[in-house]
Amino acid sequence: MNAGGWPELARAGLLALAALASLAAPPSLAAPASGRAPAATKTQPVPRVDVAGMEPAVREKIEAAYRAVAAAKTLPPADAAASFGEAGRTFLRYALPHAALPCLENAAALAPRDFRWEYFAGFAAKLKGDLERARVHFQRAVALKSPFPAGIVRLGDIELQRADLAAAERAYTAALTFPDTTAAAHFGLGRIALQRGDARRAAEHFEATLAAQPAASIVHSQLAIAYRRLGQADKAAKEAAALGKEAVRFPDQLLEDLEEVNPSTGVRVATAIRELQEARIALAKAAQDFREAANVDPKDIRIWLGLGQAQESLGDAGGAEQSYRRAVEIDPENLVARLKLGTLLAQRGARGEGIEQLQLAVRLRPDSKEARFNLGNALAQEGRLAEAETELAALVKMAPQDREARALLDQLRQDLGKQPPAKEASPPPR
Amino acid sequence: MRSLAPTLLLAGAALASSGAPGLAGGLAAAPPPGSRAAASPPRAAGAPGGKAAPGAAIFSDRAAEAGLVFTHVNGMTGKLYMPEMMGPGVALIDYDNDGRMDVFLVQGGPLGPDAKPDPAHGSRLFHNDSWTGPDGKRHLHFTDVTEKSGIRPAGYGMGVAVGDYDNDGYPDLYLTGLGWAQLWHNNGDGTFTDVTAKSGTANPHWGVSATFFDYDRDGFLDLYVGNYLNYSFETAKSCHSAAGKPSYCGPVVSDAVPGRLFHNRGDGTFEDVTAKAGLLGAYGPGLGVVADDFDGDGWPDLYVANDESGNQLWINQHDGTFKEIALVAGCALSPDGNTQASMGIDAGDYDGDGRDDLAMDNLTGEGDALYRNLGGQLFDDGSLASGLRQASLPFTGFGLAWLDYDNDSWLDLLVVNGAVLQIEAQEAAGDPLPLRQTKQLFHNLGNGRFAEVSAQAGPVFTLPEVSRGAAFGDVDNDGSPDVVVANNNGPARLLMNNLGGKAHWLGLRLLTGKPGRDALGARVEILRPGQKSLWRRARADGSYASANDPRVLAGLADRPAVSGVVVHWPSGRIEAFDAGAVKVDAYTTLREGTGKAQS
Repeated sequence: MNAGGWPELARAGLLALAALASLAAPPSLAAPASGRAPAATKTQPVPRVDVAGMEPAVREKIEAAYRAVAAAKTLPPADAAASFGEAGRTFLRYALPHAALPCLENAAALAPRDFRWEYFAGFAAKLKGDLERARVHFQRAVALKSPFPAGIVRLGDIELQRADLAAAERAYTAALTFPDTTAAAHFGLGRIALQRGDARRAAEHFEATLAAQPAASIVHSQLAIAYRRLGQADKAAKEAAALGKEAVRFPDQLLEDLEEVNPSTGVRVATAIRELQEARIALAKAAQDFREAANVDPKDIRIWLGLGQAQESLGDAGGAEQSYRRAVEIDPENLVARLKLGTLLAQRGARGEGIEQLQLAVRLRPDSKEARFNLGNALAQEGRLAEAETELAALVKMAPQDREARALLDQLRQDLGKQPPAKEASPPPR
Repeated sequence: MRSLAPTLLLAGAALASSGAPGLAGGLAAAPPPGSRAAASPPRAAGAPGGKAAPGAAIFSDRAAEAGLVFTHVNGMTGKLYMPEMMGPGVALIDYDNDGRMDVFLVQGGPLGPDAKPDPAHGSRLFHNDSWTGPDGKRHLHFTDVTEKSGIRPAGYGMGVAVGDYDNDGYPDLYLTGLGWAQLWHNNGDGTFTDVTAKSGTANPHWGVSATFFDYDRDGFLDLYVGNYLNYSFETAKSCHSAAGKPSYCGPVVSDAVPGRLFHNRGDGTFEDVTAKAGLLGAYGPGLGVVADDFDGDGWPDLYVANDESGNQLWINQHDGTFKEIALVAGCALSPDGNTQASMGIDAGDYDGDGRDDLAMDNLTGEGDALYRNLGGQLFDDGSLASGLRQASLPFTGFGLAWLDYDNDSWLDLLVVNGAVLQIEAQEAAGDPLPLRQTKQLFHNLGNGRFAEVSAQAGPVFTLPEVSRGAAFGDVDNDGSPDVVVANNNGPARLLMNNLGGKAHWLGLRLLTGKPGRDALGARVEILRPGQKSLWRRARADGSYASANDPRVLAGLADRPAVSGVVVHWPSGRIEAFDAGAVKVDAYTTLREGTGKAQS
């Protein structure tokens, strides 16, 4: 389902949007009320953070931010706002919200028409756990910039965290009118429906979320809960099996700019996330390429194996299972196809069939260490300990240096009441 | 399972779980504010029971004056080893059966690849030798009896569980630690014997919380040990904040280790049945565990709270196996579908519907979680509707319990907090352990919502500390729940409840077998004329790495009438005891087999 299937919501969304756009800027928090002459604006002090131990390049950025804050006092309001705002962004980038928030609130007070500082201040307040302050800042940002789909979703998220379901509903309904935030809006509305105990409505919204953004595998958990509440146990189980970690996404240029990669170090996490995002984009593209190739040559096993791998990596376990099944159909003697299918089935809880596939894989290639390990592991998880021991013992004999297999074998033997041989008793740390 | 294409799988598995990965990551990692006022806006607090004198603190720390003097040593050396900020736990245990709760406090000690245990800094057992004077005044006092007890932990300690595994009438101790665990048999004469090897309960992993429960209803307490991570100093990773400062690592940099289920054979030995019971099917870095009959079928189930991983609800299949259903039951993840870093946990009937609900605390930015038990193996996430999540967002919680602190018959919630990532303001102030946070007390308003009453709870609630374990129970037997808090690298606190005697209450000790051990897992329906029944549970487990008073303590507010109690024993037997069998405003011992059998 997509936004077009929700005409009443679309109408409501337009109304909600109008309401949000007409929001008067809420009263000031700590900064002076807008309208006061900027030159007379009092600014909040910015607490020092301990820079000892920071990466040198980050420390330099932080010190530069403090210098900019100190210099801002002598600047005209517009320039001072920019100095405070950029310093706040720097603090926010390095997850230092206590320093970031006063900077950004100073910037917002000095440049009351610049939505960016209110938006970032909302994040800083949220990082501090101050939902009330975050709400006010996001409200102001949304009132200052129109349209601002990402801001509306952020406001909805904060309202939902505050348990103000009506306010959250207004925001998400407004966000529903923008194509970029349709999925996020449905996800929010679904969570609201679940909070209200309306499982049917929740399921509809979660289904719409997945229709708009199939890769958002995190949604499967909530959809599973909704189905379960509706008494649809089979559908719930299927959704639970499809659960992944991929969030509902929407474009947010301001945040993306904030997360610019620092070539130094402290931003290793941000760098890694960026790389993973890029990898994910590449995976999604690869999956699309495989799908198109499969349309042309559906008998090419490499296509289905590649598609399955991409789907699995993207968290689409159900799709991956189908792809691996196609690969097995094409070539039942293919080790990789059997191994991938068996492993995935075992991981998804269908251990019986998974074990059968893995046994076939071992039969095809008795020297495959991966097949034996995964078979032993699946058998152990199924409680078939003696069979698991046989497989793992064969593997350890084949590959004595395989510490993971040895550790699992030792554990199994202990469970079976057997003392592991002395030389295997203490596997080195992994 | 191993992967054929680790690179691809890594990319898939590690994808960020938020619309705004970087910042959301920062949210989870962000330190909370240094002060409560800055962190959490004042809440409209309901009057707690309406019984406390105006301005009087609900709890007072009386550890020092009572002789409960203990300081945890976390062994930190500046290398930010993860285990140093994860302990310790604490137990309330009446080891000598004198009717007073004694205290066992877990110690850390030197930590590192070459560290040797320091006998001067060991875990301590304190005997409660409080007395009541001729004037009726209670005198609180503890005496350190560790030397006599013979308890010598094998290494760096984490947690403790209590249960009488051999049914001799004296509760035994199970200690968890970093790479070791010990079962100490209570000899009944004030001494304990290490029976770890003999009993087959060794656990060479990083264990934290454990619970004794009789999962097969054979009359002997079995043991579940929650394991955390595969950690070694040699391979410990370095972790950094967003600004590149060294920080404590989270659980994702290490492999989780499955918990272990030990079946009690009834002859003093246990069998590791983890695989046989199906518990290897799913696991995460386990921190909190609680055993309870969540689906009302008379068989104990198991809930495991994992750190940054989905939680597990293992439903007892009555044949020695368990089935994991947390996700479809609605109690595995946050309301956003995200995993949470769950630490402390408890099960109790906060809404008075006869079903035990789950409360647990999480990382800063996640908030406390509340899963309301709807019956039929379904839970409703009440974290938002209850107000608990919002009020706890700036905090990282550990020890936690349902307790009716004002005896108004509604279960309230107490949470002890302490960050796991350095708090910037404290770090800037030069605090060597900048993880300090304050404690929280939430008053149950009886309408599904809670009001934070920490400001009225007493000065000890405004003390920023790195709190971890907490044991809950009636230390002075005045009918009001007290709390022992185990702080990391700091002094233990004895939070005495000042509301004792201000409302009516019913205390029950439930014994099973001969000579009689605490019937852990028994559920009690307290029948009240003209009012809804109260449901309470005899439990020692829950909280974080700690063991609670196993007695049932139920507040009756200003209406002392009780028309009887119905006990659902762990054996499956249901017995009724009439009003004459129990005494209000006192503790009564009920023995299995002496009530009127119910169908």
